[in-house]
Amino acid sequence: MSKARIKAQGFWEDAPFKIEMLAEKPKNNGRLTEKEAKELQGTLHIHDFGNPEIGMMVRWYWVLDEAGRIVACRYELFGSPVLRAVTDMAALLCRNKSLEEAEKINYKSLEYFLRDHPSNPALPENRRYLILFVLRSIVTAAAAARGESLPDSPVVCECSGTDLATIESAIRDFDLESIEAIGNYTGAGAFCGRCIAPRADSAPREHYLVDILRRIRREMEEERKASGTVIDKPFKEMNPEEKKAAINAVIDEHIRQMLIMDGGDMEILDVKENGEHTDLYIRYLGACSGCASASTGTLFAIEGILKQKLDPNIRVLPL
Amino acid sequence: MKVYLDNNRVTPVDPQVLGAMEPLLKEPYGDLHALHWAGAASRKAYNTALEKCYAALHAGEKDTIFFTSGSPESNTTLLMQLYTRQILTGRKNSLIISEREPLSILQAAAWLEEQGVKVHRLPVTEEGIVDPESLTDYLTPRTGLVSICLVDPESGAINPLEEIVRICQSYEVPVHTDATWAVGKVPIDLETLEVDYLSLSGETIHAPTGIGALYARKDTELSPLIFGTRSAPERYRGGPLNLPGIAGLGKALELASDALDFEMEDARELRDALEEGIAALSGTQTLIEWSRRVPNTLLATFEGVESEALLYELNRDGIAAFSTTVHPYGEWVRPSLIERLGLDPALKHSTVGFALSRYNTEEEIDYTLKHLGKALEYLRSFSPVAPKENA
Repeated sequence: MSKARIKAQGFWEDAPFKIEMLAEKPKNNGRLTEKEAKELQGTLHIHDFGNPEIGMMVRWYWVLDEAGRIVACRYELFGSPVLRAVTDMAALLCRNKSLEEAEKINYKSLEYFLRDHPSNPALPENRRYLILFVLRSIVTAAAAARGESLPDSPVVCECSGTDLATIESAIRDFDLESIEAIGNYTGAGAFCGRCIAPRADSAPREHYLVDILRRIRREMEEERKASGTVIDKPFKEMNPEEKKAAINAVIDEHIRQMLIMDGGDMEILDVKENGEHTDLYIRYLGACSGCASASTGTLFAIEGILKQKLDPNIRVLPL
Repeated sequence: MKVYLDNNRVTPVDPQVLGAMEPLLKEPYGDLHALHWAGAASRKAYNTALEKCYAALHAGEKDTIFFTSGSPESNTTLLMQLYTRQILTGRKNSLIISEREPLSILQAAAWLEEQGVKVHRLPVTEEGIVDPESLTDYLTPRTGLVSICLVDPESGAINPLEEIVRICQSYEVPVHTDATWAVGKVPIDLETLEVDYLSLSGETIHAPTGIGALYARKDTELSPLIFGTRSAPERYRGGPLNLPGIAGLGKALELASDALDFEMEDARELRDALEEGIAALSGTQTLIEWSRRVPNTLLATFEGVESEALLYELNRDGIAAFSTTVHPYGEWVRPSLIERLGLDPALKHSTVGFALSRYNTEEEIDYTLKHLGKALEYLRSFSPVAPKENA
């Protein structure tokens, strides 16, 4: 094991400042009443997600106006302080969004808003499942507000209350390769461990994480081969056209949503070889152009993601 | 104000214990086998500490006590010798433990299970203790060992060990108990409590962490886990020994047994004051009957409040408590106590416990109660499952 793994993991004392602030002084917690909803000329929707038996339960209070926009958003919570911080941030993000937009809040954007610095992850690895829990609660609340119900999926891990569909989509979305990673992102298997693989001291179960992981990884591999669009060579050996395509793919997947959440966007102007470096010329659009963070925080975030995903020698130059 | 109420995990070091260790920490001390003045002083310190250990536990002259790095090492030493000397040779084939043993025993038992040893885990009853009668379902002449902890580290429940020993003796099966959380809280007299092996640890009796001991009655089997033996004191655990720790453990054990009566009465009074105060708050419940618990421990459920959230609020006011379910501590390997006690499973994540020591004061308890009430009120103000009167 590496030094980083052996070091004592910080608990609350190492949480980012933002999470500490939101846990200490949440701003959107509490209830909304019918009376308040009437004053806002909307209808009140209350939705419960999770339960005390798994240690996490959130009750959303949403006031929707006639156009189906969330005009007021509060929550009641049974859960850890970190979950409180995540839920509070999610409540802030849900406000003034339509149900469809609220559903589209994804892991990256919520996590990004909890960061102190764009390149430092907000939560330690083993607590990432809190974000997914809150996102699932928003999706089910939105479905309930529309009067729909989500398809039933069998519960795989009782300790964390995670169902099969969540685990399957997490493996696909986050490209998870190990049981530990599944535990970090969904909470499944991170507690008593009986759902990971058959064990002598527990009764046989229908679903085991090892089987699910193997099945989904195989499916993903087959899809990848079938699609044939994946360029299977190192970034350095690509020609400029392929480099541009690869950069585009990363931006679409990891960066653009983050900018759009803030009402901005970006476009790629050119990709140029410059000795051992690859220079990427971009232009900011919408709210990003002229934003003070466009030449600092946002730029570092874009560059950081490209460096991590593709090649450490990429430089991003905004024009 | 800082209030430390997590004394079932680690206790602060007693000044008298520190005094006993100081000569060995500040000045050079010799190896136990060194042929010079420093070695002689070490041998004296070792013998004094050993005498104190024998006296404190009322161990017989022919019994063995040897020092380890703590109760996990003591437990592992014992279970490994069970495996190598009794199970691999085919003399015995099974092990009986309770399902709420300390982590070292649970994990060693899981490892033994992988090696093909039959492990029976006795469930705890609705009173939070092991039912001695349930032992008879599993005891056979080929049972290698019965290991039941004397006191549950989380709930403080005292297991009826004397009865367990009596049953095991009729089957001629040796009994081991991990007394880490019992020493200094309940009287331990090895003349009347006829266990064959007993583990203890320094960190729960105001000695430093990293020192412990294993007791073995005469004519029981033992073999070392850690090699490096040079002489009889290191017969079952290779040296060089942790001499400052041993001097500290000896002194701490002496204090624990001498002062047991009045100090634990003080702790009990404070604990009872805390318990009464908690009972006066709405939606709370103390687990394990008063008479079945060690005098320093109190585990309660707080309806509608999550353990970690409550610990967080308490910590902000400088109060250190513990919980049975907060994730990364590994408590998840044990079955939930709440389910075993027959309580509402919704309370599973709402437990917070307090373990006192002789250093806690009345003032600290009042402070804790005041801030506990405040934290509960705050957390329940936005809890979806708060008890009715708060809703």
